Amino acid sequence: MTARTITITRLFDAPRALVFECWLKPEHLVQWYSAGDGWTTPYAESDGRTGGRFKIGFAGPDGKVAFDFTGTYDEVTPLERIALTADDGRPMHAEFSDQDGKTLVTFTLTLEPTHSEEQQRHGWSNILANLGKYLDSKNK
Amino acid sequence: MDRLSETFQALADPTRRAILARLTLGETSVNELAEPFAMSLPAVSKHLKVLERAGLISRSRDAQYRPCKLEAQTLESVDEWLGEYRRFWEARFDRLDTYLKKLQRKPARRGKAK
Repeated sequence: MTARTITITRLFDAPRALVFECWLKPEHLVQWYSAGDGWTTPYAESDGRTGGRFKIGFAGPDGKVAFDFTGTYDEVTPLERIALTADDGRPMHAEFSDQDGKTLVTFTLTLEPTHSEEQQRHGWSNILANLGKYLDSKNK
Repeated sequence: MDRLSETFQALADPTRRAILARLTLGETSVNELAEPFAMSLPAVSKHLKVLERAGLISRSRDAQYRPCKLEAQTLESVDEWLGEYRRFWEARFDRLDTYLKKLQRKPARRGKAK
């Protein structure tokens, strides 16, 4: 783990081509990309190729709050990898592979704008690990 | 700037992270903290001020050498914040999983109709 990133993996019981398509095509994105808890995704635009743009709409449960999630696809390698940077500067990427007849997705999200490579290398996950030890020792 | 942003800014520097890592081992004087770094005491003090402002450490007021102590709670709030994002994405993956199942239940929709 590097600075301010979260990695989530999930095995989906579906062919890789279909899973990959779900990440790029507007008609699929509106079906699952919503924020949950009553939020909806009324529309999505997605030019699913390297350099293409995307815009995904979010609408709040009360119908008042709404915003667009926009950004650029930095890399689209069919069936393998999608890397994008949101317009707020946060990069994220998803990797797709076959595993036991299913599709493994490894998704990495960076939570804050990336300022330098150096920052990414020096994660503070070690600090958190040490913190855990520190708290454990305190609780003894 | 809100507290979390301030915390992240404080954590954005490798020296400050190293100082925090050192402090996870226990209370430490500024002199001791400065030792492993090729850095003057004033330079270390400057880093400590940033960490203190971000609520990541506290410094004792009474003892003359003012030992530094890690404020674990602030780092915990960072951890919680990361956890929220993780739960958000896990839920989104659940929805994708459900949607994929639904898609695959519909036969003859993907160009393989008999």
